[in-house]
Amino acid sequence: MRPVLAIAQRELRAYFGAPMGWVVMAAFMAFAGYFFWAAIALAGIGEMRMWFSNTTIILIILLPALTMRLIAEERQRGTIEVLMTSPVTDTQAILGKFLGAFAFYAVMLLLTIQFPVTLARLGTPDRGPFYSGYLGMLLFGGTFLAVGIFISTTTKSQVVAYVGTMFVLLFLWLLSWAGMGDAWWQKLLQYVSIPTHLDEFAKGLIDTRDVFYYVSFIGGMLFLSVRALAAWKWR
Amino acid sequence: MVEVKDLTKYYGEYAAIEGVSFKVEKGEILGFLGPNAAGKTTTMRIIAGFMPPTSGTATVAGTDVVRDSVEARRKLGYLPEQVPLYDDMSVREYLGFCAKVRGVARDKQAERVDTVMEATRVTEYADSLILKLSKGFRQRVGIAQALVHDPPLLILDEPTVGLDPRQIVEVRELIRGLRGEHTVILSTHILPEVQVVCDRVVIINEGKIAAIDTPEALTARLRRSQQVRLDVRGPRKDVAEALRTLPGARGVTDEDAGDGVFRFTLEADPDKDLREIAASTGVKHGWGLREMSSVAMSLEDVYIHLTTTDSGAAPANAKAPTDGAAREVTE
Ligand SMILES: Nc1ncnc2c1ncn2[C@@H]1O[C@H](COP(=O)(O)OP(=O)(O)O)[C@@H](O)[C@H]1O
Ligand SMILES: [Mg+2]
Repeated sequence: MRPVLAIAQRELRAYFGAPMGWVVMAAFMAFAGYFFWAAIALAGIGEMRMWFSNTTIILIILLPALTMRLIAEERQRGTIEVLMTSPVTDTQAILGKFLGAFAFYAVMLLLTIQFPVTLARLGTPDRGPFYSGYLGMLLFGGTFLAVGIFISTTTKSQVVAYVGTMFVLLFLWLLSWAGMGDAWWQKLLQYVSIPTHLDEFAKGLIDTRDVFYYVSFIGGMLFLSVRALAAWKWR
Repeated sequence: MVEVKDLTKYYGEYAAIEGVSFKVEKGEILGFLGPNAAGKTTTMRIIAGFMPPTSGTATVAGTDVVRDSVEARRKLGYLPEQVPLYDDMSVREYLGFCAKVRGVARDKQAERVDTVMEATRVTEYADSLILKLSKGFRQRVGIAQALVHDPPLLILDEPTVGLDPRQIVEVRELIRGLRGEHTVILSTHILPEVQVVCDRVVIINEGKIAAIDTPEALTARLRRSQQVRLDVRGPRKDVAEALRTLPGARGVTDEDAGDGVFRFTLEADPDKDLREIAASTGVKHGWGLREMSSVAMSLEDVYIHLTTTDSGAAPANAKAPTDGAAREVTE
């Protein structure tokens, strides 16, 4: 566990030490702030549900920028040789990297807490959907980050990792549109697509099936990343 | 400390190393010498547990680097060829991170970092970003990184490549200072380096071991005899006979150098210098000695010899290399 935390901590600091981390955070806050303002001021909606679903869309563009460097940069610069000749398993390396990115994303989310706090000042909305919505956002972002780290493991080009991740996320997103309907295959698409599972969270319901879906999606992606890293070394 | 048995690594169809075996004793500095693309980096990466071999085994202090990879990696520090470090960290932060990842106890981490910074003399740059360091200091931080968890084995891949002459001397001194306390494997394609730094040499060429010995013994091995070349004007047969009967002489060859001058190559025991006695013999007989030189075989000759003509792995289309071509390989 210690190497995992050491790696996670290093990654987290690397985001704050490089322009990319700040750019992603600033862009996120700009969009998130706009969506909040638009919902309140323009539409007069006093709840966060719309905000959650709007904000997730910009994560397709922003989160791949966090994950693109995780393994690809190490491969490109050769630092992976030092890391992987340390007494660290492939699993620990992937887990540490993932947690570093996840922690940064959590900080980004934390900065948006001001929005529900503002709402609470303005009126007395139900608090349940805030908590469940944020939990959903965390898990939801986690799946994106897990896809991103997997793709970052398969290339040494950060650009390829970014573009590849964005397209995969976009594709997964489109699955949820194609799945609107009642046919069995549409229900299946609904189940496998990432954003559908966020709806219940945003409504204030924490369904264990949705939690299970996200957690196993993240776990599966991280597992694939570990395999991809090992395969690269064994090739 | 290290035992490498029959290591073979294929990249696709291409065998980067084949049947590489050697041992490294505790406390010694082993030089891994070979021209570019000989397979040095491949072998070191396998020993360091970075990638598995296609076949064969390697153990570090008795621990198999594939089956028990993490455990083996605890016992070694590795400096890759291009000195890849996290440029966005300061020297102190980076070494602290390495100490943590390598499992140095929490209360010892700061102390270890200070110790290795002292040992590699980078303390004055402790709080500079690694990005800003010169190549020489970067190299030292690379060595500090490999030392930070105090591993018994250090693997350094071409640690002096790309440094200026003064930095080279400093880094070599630093490595020599590790002898005894640490076992060191260092690779190089520069010959003087092994003569200056190493206790033993493994010469590798085209993926195969060409020789293993001390630098001195390797030199001696090909210098089983030393040679003296003489250009003499005189009766060819008599001169050859007179040289052959000198004490310590082993054999003489002669060739016509034109103008009544003959070139004799006198082979003698390595510990005898026959130049003076050969000269006085010539004077005694009244032969004209035109020129005389001693043809000593240096380790460089041994190296060139082993990595060209003697390799046995030479591709079928390779013709016997000329001296010039052979020298090119070593640069
Ligand atoms: N990752 C790789 N993929 C394919 N071929 C490689 C790879 N690494 C090294 N090689 C080849 O294997 C041979 C040995 O390389 P290397 O071990 O780096 O030699 P050295 O370190 O002695 O210069 C070279 O011909 C090199 O081109
Ligand atoms: Mg090399």
